[in-house]
Amino acid sequence: MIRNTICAGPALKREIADSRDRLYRVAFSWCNDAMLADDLVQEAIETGIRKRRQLRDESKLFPWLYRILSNAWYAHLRKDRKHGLLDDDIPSEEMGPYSSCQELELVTRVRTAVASLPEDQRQVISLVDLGGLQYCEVAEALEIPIGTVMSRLYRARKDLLARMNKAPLASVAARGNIRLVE
Amino acid sequence: MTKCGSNFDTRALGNFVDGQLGAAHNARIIKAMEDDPEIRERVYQLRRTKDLMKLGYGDLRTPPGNTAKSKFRIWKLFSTV
Repeated sequence: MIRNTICAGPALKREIADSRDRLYRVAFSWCNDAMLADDLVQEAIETGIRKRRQLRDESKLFPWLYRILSNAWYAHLRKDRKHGLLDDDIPSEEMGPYSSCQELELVTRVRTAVASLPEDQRQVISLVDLGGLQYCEVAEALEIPIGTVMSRLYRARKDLLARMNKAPLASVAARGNIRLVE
Repeated sequence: MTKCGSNFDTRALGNFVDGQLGAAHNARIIKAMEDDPEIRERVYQLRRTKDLMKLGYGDLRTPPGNTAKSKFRIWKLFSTV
């Protein structure tokens, strides 16, 4: 389906290209690594093209792609057990064009707080707030009950706020990992 | 579940913030927000988490160039369309 529609015209090319960034933002929030996130997204798109006939309802393209992305992420975690240390990792240098140091510091604080969330919570909050999925689509993508989606989202937001409220800005800056990108 | 106000728990307010409720439920919560500052504050905090997520990751774009390790460069396919 995807390949056929890619060849169908520039409109869908734009849609797929747009989805690349959407997928990338979610993948990055999971792994905090620009190269790995890019790799996961490419793998998801490749798999999507290869298995396109399994997608019966084209309106479910995004949940389906996110499910593939999630599977790729878990496959990576299984392969690389060292990622058990992910919660202690420093957020990547992949930042973005921020207009002020204050904004950059806030972004760093957010990423530090999100990175410290449990994996299952991080996945759900990313899919809802960055991926733009409905709860039922998240449930479908992660193959979990919708009640579990809501519970994880509730805990993720509660924990995120708690971590943001207590995250000391100085300690983040002291990590020396802040870099402005023009 | 944390109670906030007379009828709404935090999960219900989360559903509201995420646009998961129908018009009737939305109206009830909006009315409750008008009447109850505690509910207003909780909705604000939930919206804040959404804003923080967008702030933290919303500006990210897929890096240009060959950063990924995948052998098959799907983006070459896009560029040829």
